[in-house]
Amino acid sequence: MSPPETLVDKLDSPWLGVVLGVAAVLGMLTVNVLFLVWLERKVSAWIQRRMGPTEVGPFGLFQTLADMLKLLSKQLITPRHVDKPLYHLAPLVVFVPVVAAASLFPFSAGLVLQDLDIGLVLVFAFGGLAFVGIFMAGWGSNNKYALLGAMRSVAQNISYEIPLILASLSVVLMSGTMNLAKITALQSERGYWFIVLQPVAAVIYFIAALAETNRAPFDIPEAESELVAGFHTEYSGMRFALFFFAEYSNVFIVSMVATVLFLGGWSGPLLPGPVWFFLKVYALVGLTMWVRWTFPRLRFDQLMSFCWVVLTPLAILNLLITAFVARLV
Amino acid sequence: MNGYAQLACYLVLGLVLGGVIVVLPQLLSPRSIGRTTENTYECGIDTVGSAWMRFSITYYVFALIFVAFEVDILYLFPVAVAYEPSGWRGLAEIAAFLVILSLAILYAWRKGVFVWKSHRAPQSSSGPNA
Amino acid sequence: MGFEQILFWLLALGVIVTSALVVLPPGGKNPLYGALLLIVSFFFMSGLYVLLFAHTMAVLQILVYAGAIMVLFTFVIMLLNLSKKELGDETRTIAKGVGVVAVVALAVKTALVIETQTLNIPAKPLPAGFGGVDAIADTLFHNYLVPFELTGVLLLVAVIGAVVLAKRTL
Repeated sequence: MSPPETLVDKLDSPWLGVVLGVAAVLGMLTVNVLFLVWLERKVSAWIQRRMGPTEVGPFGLFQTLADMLKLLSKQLITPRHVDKPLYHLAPLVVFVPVVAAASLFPFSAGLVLQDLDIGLVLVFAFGGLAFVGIFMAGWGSNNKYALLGAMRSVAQNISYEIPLILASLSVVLMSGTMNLAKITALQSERGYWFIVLQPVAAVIYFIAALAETNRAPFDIPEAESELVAGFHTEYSGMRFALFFFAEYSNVFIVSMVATVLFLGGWSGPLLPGPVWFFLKVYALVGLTMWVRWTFPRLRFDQLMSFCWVVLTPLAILNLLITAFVARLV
Repeated sequence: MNGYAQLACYLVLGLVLGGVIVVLPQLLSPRSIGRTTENTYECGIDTVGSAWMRFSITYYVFALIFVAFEVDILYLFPVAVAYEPSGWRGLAEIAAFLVILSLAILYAWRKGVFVWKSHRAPQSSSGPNA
Repeated sequence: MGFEQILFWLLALGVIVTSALVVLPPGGKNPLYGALLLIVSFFFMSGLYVLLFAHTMAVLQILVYAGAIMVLFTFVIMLLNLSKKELGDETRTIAKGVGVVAVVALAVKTALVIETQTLNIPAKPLPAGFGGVDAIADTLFHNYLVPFELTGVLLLVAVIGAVVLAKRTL
């Protein structure tokens, strides 16, 4: 599953390294998205006692590949009243940060494309850029559903970013670094995962991450029963595919962050690092899917007040207690 | 080349590849345009008015509170990193900062900001929130 | 010219052009375009920070300005949603006055920069770990403790102000 990143470090030419790195990240993300879409359809099918895709390939595994090829040949419809520059740029603005963010993760000891000391902040910064793309899509479409979806999406994402970062800060406070590889190494050294010491932060992070990725029960921005498809209503063909790609990749990325922060990243007995890493990530992704197909959608005002009245104070309290306990031991 | 230059290259290459992905179907896909193909996808009948209407002020309040918190958090990042060697003084500092932060939430909460009331924007015919 | 210098001029040009476009058309015609161009400008700016080895600043610049401030701007634009007619030209005279002041300030600044160029200040080596998170944390904890806590108070006041203003109109 993991691309040969170690190659990149051994290359002499940095330019070749960059090109190969981008290819590796995109390859990994594409395979993941194709797999995750299939998985989501299978999981929803199991939960709803259906079969899900069965025709294309074994267990319908190549269904999404076929879907992607179909999307590639679909006509791109640009509605008449759109704001052209914003409309055309929006899918790219949503897509690009995902690629950059995915290159920051350590898949195993030494198996990392970019080992930066502020890796964690960078992931959040790139996550924040997606808001801009979503807003551009909603506004540029000149569609009431799209704009409403975009406004809701941005309002929800910014609100839940606060508890998300505060929860991650508890881990940063304990480990004293924001380097993703070092945080993992620290857990591997100490022999326990940070979820043991930070269960509350882990839960807050998970809930906030669900909202950040617009997943049910927080999928209000694209609540299909009221907003058609939210901010990407007017996008067809590959433009829609880019949004879809970014959405599933974001689910993958927040799960990777959670794996690094709370589940010890690549560390684990017997199996090699990347296997552990992806096992944990997929376990989390599986959990998100289970949640999505189990819980009903929240109302928008409930969603916002839950974030500010429950999650954020809880995250602040957790950070305070963490700081206090860290002093005692 | 340091990691940040590489990251910039990733952004640029991602932009180029994304562009290719979007342009490629233009060559492959059919191009048939009917009378309603390019209509706004809202409902069967013709769309009334533009989507660019005024939105509720509640969104703005949330955005402002968010910005304040984001800046607060921005200060907390370096503080959290340097917390280990800072001693009890560090705890006092971070505690004071977090208490001030909580006061902001407490105030907004008591003022009922987090209760999302529906009210009509004067210009739009339908409010943005039900 | 070295690679870094070329990069500097490219980024600087990017900052200048995009910031000019914020106030000139298309930014001047449509506030939303202005806000989006401002983000692009901030991006070039964070590139400049990277060239100065201020890595943390660069990332925070993206996180806060491109993410948070941008959202605030767009929500304000959505709140007002001024039409082309309302944007009108009644403030032209004030705008001209502000413009003149800005140009004078720019001229003074340029003169000062040129003067420092002629002074020939010797380059000093950067302290170890400059621009990293640890260095910033260290200064924040030791040299700028009171400003750090005061920022918290300042932001508290900002939130209270926003709530008071918004509640009056609700």
